[in-house]
Amino acid sequence: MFDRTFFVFLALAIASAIAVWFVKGPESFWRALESDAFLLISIIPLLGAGFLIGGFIQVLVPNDLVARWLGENSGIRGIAVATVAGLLTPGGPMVSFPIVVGLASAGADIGALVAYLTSWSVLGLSRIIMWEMPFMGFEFASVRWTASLVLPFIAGYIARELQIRIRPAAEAGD
Amino acid sequence: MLISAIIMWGLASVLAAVAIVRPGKNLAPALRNTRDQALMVLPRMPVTIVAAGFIAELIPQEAIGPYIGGDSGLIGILIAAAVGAVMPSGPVISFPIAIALVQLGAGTPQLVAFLTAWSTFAMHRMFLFEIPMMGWGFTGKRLLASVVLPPTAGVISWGMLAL
Repeated sequence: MFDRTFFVFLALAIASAIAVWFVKGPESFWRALESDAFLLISIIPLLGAGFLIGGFIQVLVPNDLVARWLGENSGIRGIAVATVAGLLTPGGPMVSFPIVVGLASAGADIGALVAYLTSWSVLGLSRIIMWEMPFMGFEFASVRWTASLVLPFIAGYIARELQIRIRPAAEAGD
Repeated sequence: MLISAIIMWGLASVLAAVAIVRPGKNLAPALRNTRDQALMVLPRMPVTIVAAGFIAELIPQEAIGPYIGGDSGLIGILIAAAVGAVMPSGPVISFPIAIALVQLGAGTPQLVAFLTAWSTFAMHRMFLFEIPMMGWGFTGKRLLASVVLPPTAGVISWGMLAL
């Protein structure tokens, strides 16, 4: 629970808090802290559902199916399937990351997972409808979306190559 | 937020119902996975949120506007991508900043690079979800694989607009 990751972020939080206090002043410091508290309170109920979704997907989705469709040998079809799944996944990271954890433990390879996350983040329809179109307009959103169609394929393929070249480092990670 | 909550709890309920109805022991292992995941991530949440919030506070948006104008070309695309990559905030903050950049004269390809970098690198999401849930190894490789994405999208949109 309280591992290296926890302490890295604790140090980062303290360092950036000190920087904000002295560079931007106490007022900015308290305002940032207040919005952090609101964010934390508002995402906890979503996280609870996210953990449940991830836990159930690990159990309910058959591993051999995931391995066949999204595994190491799934080729361009695996990346295409992951891309379509990503652009259809609604909601924020509380939805997509539990799904990624579930798929990873069911045998999906890094190329498919990176393609899924890239697609969800740059092509995701729910974010475009909820955020981008209201803020940036239909024309900008459609130009950006079309220009991004190829991105999950690029990232998925590079990630697969990286995995083959630096596989030992992956096992050393937590 | 309310709509997201309804969708997510709805999805969780449907999955739980399937787990109960389907033959075999599904419920106990699923809940064990859920608990393990929650125990790993929850202690990290408060510190990662605070870190991301303070880092966002330190980004000077007015200073970068002039460098990513419509005629700034590839250099502007690269600068916009670099700024987008270090934005540690969700859409609530990033889209208002994108609007501010439009008002400061940012060009469309530069904005595409900015938003692509923000959404693929997403430091807040990386801190909050990716590193805690997927580990440093996966996150590092995904980031390396994503370095070329924002300039690529910027250049493609530049080409599309030139047609």
